[in-house]
Amino acid sequence: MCIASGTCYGRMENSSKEDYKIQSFDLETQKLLKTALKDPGSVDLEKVSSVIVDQSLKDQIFSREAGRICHTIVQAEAKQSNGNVFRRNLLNRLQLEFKAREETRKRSTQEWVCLVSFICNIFDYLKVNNMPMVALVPPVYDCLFRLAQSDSLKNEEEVDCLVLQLHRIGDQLEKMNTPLMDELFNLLRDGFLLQEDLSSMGRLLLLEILEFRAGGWTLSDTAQKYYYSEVTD
Amino acid sequence: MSEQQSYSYENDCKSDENRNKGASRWSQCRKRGADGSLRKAEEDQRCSRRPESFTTPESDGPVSRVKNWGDAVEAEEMRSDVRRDMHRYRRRILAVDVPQRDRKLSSGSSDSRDSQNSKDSTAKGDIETDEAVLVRRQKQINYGKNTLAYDRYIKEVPKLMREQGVHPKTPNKFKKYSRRSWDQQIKLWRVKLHAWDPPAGDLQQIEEIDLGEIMDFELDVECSADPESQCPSANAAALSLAEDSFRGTPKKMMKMEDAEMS
Repeated sequence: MCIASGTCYGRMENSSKEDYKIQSFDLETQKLLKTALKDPGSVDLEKVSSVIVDQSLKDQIFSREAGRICHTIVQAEAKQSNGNVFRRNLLNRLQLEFKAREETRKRSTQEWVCLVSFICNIFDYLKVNNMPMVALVPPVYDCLFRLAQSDSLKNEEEVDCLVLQLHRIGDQLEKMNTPLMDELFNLLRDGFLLQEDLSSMGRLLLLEILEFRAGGWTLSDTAQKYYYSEVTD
Repeated sequence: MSEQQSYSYENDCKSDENRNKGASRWSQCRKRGADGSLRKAEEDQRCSRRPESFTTPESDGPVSRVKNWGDAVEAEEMRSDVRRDMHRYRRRILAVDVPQRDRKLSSGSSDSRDSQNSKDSTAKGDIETDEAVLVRRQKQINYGKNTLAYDRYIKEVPKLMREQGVHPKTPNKFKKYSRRSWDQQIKLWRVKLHAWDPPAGDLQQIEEIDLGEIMDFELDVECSADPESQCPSANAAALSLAEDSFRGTPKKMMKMEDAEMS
């Protein structure tokens, strides 16, 4: 059995360094973003952060990659004026969305998984002196714990989101708080073993992530072959 | 909270149970009893006690559930900056202390006037290490460095060309000082910096009163803010500007605030 070729785990190291995946924005907004990257002081950074968050909740591809463009804008603003207006607005807006996550999940699974992907991507890219943001650790774990609940595990979409995040930031999260990661994996183990309404793909995804963590956040060669042998890159 | 109740009822409260590391951990973890039916009775009770989130936020000082993320991360950044500065400072003063050569050498931000004494005491570890104090001091330093005057000053006078007493020097946050002594040093430093204010007529402002700055200073009634009597070494230009000094501090942030408003 193998994981469908559509899913691609790990960092998407495709295209040029400059690819921020903003093609889904309308042209005017693309221009705004490009200006923000070069000259953050000249644009309304609150609007920029708002536009980015809005799009992340709608666009799955962007939600997984938006961290990069955010990181660049934060750096650019810090360098230009030592300010962090963008980061502050971004984080506060993100916090609002996080608070409303349960309603979002009820309203639209797609939006919910986009939200989780986005929060995790921000955690991955926005570092404080090269260290992950401590303030984001509990919310990220919260999202993952939510995804590990049985009503979520039965949705392949949610399981897929969960394992994607763990592939990308699991090792960092574990370093920040190991007991929580242990607890999360207890849930995953139980879900895999005991939950009857999991799809077979869901079960496969869980088994793979269990092996992945057990191997120190990497897959052995044989496991890699088992799960990914039919993926064409 | 109804939203919490609804999904906690559906699911088993695994995370709560796992936290009760008892001897019968295995049986508690089982979702189903021996007869195969889902366990419910006990769980309902525990579920109603379930906290709002699955995770207990780490109580790492000011980071609490109440704060917004923007502030929390800024505070985190300040603390981490200060810690990094402290490591660098320690390495630097230890490095200078070891080769017993030129005692007149003053490195970086250490005060050259009492150089050897201070180096001895700082080398022995007698530096300010209280993070809260360091963060507060760093904030005050940041207010001063975040001005057009400071920008112009550092462009005009390279560090090596600085003359003691004439050119303003950033107070060293790692030295042990009383609160009043430190606040006074900051005030004097800020006043001296005003000598590099851009020529008047540049911009507006009757003043963006920086409340943060005022709160940090905790205006001490005894120390009256009379700049002229307190900076005898300031040059003439500074004295003439002294009266305006606490009113018209141009800030770098102006440009951005204008942009934000449009």
